[in-house]
Amino acid sequence: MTKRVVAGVLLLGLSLTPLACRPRKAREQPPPPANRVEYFKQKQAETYLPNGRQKVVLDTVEETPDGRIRYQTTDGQTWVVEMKPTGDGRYKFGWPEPAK
Amino acid sequence: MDRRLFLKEAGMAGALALLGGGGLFARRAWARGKLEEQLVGDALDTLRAQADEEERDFPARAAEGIRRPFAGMCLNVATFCDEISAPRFQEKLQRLPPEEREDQLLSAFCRCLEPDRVLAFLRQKARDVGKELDRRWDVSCREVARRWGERLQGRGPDFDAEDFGRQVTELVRDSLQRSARRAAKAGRPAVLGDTQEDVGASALLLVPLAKTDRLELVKQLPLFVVRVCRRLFAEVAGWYEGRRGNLHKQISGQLADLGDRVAREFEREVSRRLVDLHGWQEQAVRVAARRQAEARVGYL
Repeated sequence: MTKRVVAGVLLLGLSLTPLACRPRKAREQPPPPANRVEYFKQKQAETYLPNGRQKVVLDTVEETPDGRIRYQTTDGQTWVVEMKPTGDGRYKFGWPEPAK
Repeated sequence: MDRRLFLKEAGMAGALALLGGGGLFARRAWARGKLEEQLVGDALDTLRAQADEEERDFPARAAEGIRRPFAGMCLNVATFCDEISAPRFQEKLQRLPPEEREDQLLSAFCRCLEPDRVLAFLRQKARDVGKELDRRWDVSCREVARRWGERLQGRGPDFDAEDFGRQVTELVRDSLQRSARRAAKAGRPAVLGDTQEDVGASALLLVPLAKTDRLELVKQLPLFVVRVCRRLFAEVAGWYEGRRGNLHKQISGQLADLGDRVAREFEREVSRRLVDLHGWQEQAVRVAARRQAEARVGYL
């Protein structure tokens, strides 16, 4: 009787081993948020920028037709910046340039 | 004629010849010196006015846009904060002596700042501003040549303005290359490196690079950037570890200040480069004036 139980447990263990060792599906990264303007506002609400610690005026943030983000800083200057998805659910911002 | 009389008269004749020769020599030296002085005076009127204007306006123009990489860092500050707040990074920092902590922070900062892009940006800036400096130098050379042409009229062959421009520009380039070689030999390599640029851009790119044996990425940044960053990270290394509160806000504030400080430091650096360039230009014109005086003033 004991032998049967031990053999059963062994068999069960052996049959489950491949299941545990199967290749796992790579952990999927969340896609970057679809609303880029909201993402920008959320990330830059607290950010200080050069030229005497300027801040982003959040109401002025908008997406340009070429997919960049346009925003104004508290000194009244307008900038555009690129946003590229990084693959980990976030975006990387480029170097802002003055808007023409 | 007895021997004594012969020696006396020969001595007198020799003395007279020496006196005459010496007089001619002195007259030539005096006339050359005077002409050289006049030519240099003509040139300096033009060059100094231009140099003052360039030293006043160009540093700010060159520094335009230098805040952009730092503004980019501020926008990406979350990535930098994540990196330096990660438990593994903090544990590593705590095991290190203070100066190596700064190095680690500086390395993390450089990974986010992309030094090669910063260097490419500086090179492009130097090319743009350098082109304008070269154009103005060309205009100055023409003006100096016009004045020298007038002054040298009737003193030997016609003055060749084109040749003058080429000659002085080559002299400036020689001084510049000597300076770059001296710096490299002394272990202070410049951003210019071995690249071939025009004179204006090369003069601006003599900005020294950071010197460090420990940090490969930092080596690619100009010394003035690293110097300002070190001051900041010495401070950050002291306070960020145990600090509660909004790290994002604090670090982006520090980076914003850093961008402004780097811009000011860059302006100073460009001023120094311009002072050197103007010194070499003045020296080149002095050499050219001496050559003209030597070629045109003879003994008679």
